Amino acid sequence: MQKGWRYYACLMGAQLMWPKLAIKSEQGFFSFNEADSESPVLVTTDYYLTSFRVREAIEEQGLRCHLLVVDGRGINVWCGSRGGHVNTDSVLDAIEQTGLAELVTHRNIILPQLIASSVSKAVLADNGWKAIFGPVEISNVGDFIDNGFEKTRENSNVYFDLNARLENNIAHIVFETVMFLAMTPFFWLLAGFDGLLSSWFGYWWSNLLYIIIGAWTLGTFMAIVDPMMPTTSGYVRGLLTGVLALIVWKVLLLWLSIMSPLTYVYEPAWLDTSGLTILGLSLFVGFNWGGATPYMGEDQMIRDILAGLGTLVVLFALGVYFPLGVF
Amino acid sequence: MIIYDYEACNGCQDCLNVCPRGVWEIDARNKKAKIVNPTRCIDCTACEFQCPVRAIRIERALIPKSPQIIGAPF
Ligand code: SF4
Ligand code: SF4
Repeated sequence: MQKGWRYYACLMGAQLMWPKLAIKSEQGFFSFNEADSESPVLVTTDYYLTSFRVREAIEEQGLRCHLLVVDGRGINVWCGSRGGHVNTDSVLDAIEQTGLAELVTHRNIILPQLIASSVSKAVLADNGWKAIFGPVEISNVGDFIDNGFEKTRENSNVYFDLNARLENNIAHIVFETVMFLAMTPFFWLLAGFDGLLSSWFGYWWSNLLYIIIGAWTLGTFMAIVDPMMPTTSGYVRGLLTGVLALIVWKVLLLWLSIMSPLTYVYEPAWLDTSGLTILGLSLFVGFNWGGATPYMGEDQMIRDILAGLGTLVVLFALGVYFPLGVF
Repeated sequence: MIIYDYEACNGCQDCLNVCPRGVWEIDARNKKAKIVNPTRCIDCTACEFQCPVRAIRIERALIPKSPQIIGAPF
């Protein structure tokens, strides 16, 4: 299938910038490979990337089936379900609007497993439809149908492989870049005040490029080493990566200073401006990363936010009171 | 945190089929669901939402807690 601009806009995380930018695909009933009234019916939501990949998988596997695309407000299945943007009524509405009961002779619909937080099998049954939760990954749906709607345990579990992580990272990189650019006027306003904060704009503006490249590097590093992280916490991942990055940075400066003593750049205080920036940046990127992995519980998210805000306030205070660095 | 009513469970396996984190297994002898990987739970509430007999409840706790199992004979 042809990948157009919509596909790439989704990859770049357009919806992260502003929910209204979420790119939708057409809702309704679609048939593939000469499916007839006895062919199975798959259900998905209208987030463009999701429905593109479902269609692609159906065509690649040559499945004889129908596809019901329901209104999910242009959000991916899992986020839409956990956020309550798609529910049993969305599915029932789509069934009614497309006249599905007349189009197929059976009463089975295969729902994506990750919609299970908000689409009730029991309520669908009350309305005469037998809902079956399919595998997590659409690539396994062919086997699922061949096995008489049975899936293996592995196919019920969510995995986050390197490809998925790197793809996710693209959206993060774009999001963080846009955020940093959007924060620039704020620092510019600070420059209008007298005193300590007025110097921040100069620092921000002259280092913006490095800050952005730093965020990209930290995020890509986190994407690659994700399975090695000791916990699912975004805070811990940000802190560990930050400390590591700080060590690398300081060793690099020390090495440069030793190699050419005339341009001595090593700063003995580790938590100086660059050190604090690296730690703060890494925590910020770690947060974003934690929230994007499928391993993070919502209670963990709250713990992370509390710990992260606390640490950022401390780093901020250190930066204000010890502009030349501490420790 | 998972609160699970062992006695109410009818062994339908819906929780196994919707859990994306492999938290549940079925106890073949008693034909009841059992929690095998409690720390992997991400509070997605899919199991709670689908369980036909409302045997599962998911509570978000600021301090992590181990699951509470009600009515188990062990
Ligand atoms: S969904 Fe409920 S009744 Fe069914 S196996 Fe799980 S706990 Fe038991
Ligand atoms: S809340 Fe979600 S992750 Fe936790 S046991 Fe239930 S289905 Fe599994």
